[in-house]
Amino acid sequence: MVELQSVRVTYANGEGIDQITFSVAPGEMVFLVGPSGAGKSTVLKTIYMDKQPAEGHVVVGDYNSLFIRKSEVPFLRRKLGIVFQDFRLFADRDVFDNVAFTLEVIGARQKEIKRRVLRALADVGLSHKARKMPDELSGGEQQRVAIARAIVNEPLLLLADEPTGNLDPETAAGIMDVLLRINTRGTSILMATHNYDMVQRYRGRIIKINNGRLVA
Amino acid sequence: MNLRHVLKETADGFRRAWGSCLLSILTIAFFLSLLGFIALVSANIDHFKQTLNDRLQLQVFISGTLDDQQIAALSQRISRISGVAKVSFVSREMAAEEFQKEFGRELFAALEENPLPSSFVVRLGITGEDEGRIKQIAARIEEEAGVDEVVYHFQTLFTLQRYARLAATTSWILLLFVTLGSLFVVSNNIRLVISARKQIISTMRLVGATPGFIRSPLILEGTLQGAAGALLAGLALYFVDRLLAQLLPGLLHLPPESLIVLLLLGCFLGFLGSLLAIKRYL
Repeated sequence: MVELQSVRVTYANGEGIDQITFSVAPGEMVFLVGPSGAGKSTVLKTIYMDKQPAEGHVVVGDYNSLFIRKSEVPFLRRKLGIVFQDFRLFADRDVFDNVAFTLEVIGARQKEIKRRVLRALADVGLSHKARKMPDELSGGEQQRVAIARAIVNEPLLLLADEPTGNLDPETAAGIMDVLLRINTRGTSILMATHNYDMVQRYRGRIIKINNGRLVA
Repeated sequence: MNLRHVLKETADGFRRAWGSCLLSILTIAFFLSLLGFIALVSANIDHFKQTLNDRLQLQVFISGTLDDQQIAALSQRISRISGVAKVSFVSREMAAEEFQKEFGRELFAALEENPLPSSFVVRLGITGEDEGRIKQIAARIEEEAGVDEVVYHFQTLFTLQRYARLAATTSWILLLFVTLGSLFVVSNNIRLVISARKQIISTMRLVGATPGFIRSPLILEGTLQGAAGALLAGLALYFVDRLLAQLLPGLLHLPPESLIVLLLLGCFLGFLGSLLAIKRYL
């Protein structure tokens, strides 16, 4: 479903990733673990094709980084859900509208949007806060909204870039529970984190990365 | 394309940067009003010029010693001069008749004899555009033997020509300024909107928004700014037009089509301004 083959990305300052090869199967939970600056975010960027590999290739469903046209990238991203450490919610929209946005982008009908947004909010346990503004929510709740926004379009793969990085251990555990529940229902998840101790407590394959290369 | 989204985002753009948006609309309105006013002045000068052009003729007074044969030969020679369209002979009797029609029989009767000379009325086949050429033709006719004097009253026309040329040049220069100025204010306003929405736009891209989905509210916003500016300009010009009509009756009015042209020009400038900002900043 998602496959990276000998991927190399180099930044102007010489940093980047090299020889990255792994795949994520349907329904799999994968943790990409490494210290800050190891190249975790760059790996994710190659999957949602924000960065093109200088060498190797990335395959996501029917899309291959070697052949994808620029105009196809938005359509590839509709098959992915992306969650960031800093949530990236729209401060001027309430919870419902933040989640609905993903469906507005694909031109879904209003009735369909309402049905799917309410279901996604129920999945993350925030149905009762649908009309709250982001600044009225705690950090953990904001991250749950971001997760709801990422899963509302039923993605092939959920990419989570340090989703618990800004949260206290208890809230982080709550977010992990939400992610595992989503995974149990069949959504593949690739989660990048620097917290090796935390991921060891959960089921899932662990891939380690350091200095831009995978380590055994 | 989700129309609801486009309208919502456009309204949001206006709300976020309403100050610069209003400034942008007022600037476009000012520029377009100025342009419309110059166009109105130009149209009136052109109209007046055309009226004078229709009366573009020289009066050639001829010596009273010429006989019929010499008059016919002179008429032919004048006809052959380049730029002359038609030569009509006005005998002393015809001139007297014309004089009586205009000034009354009593005045003419007071004179002991008909003092009016025979003349030719020479219609020119050129417009009043070429002041030098008209003077050249007059001088050429004056050289002919038997011609006493060539009279023409084109000073007003010549002055108008100068004003018309000035108005035309001003219009073009102004159009250039209007275009550049409007493009600058609209694109600057859209740049502010883009800057305020930078994070939202980046998130839009991540959830799979196409460039068209992101750009269309910005383009609509620029176009609406242009349209609003044009509507304000149209309103201002309408009142100026009404005022001038009262002060100077007989002036040409702004045709309704010109308001449509103004609106289209405003929309186009707004559209282009936002497109420039998008190309540069998005």
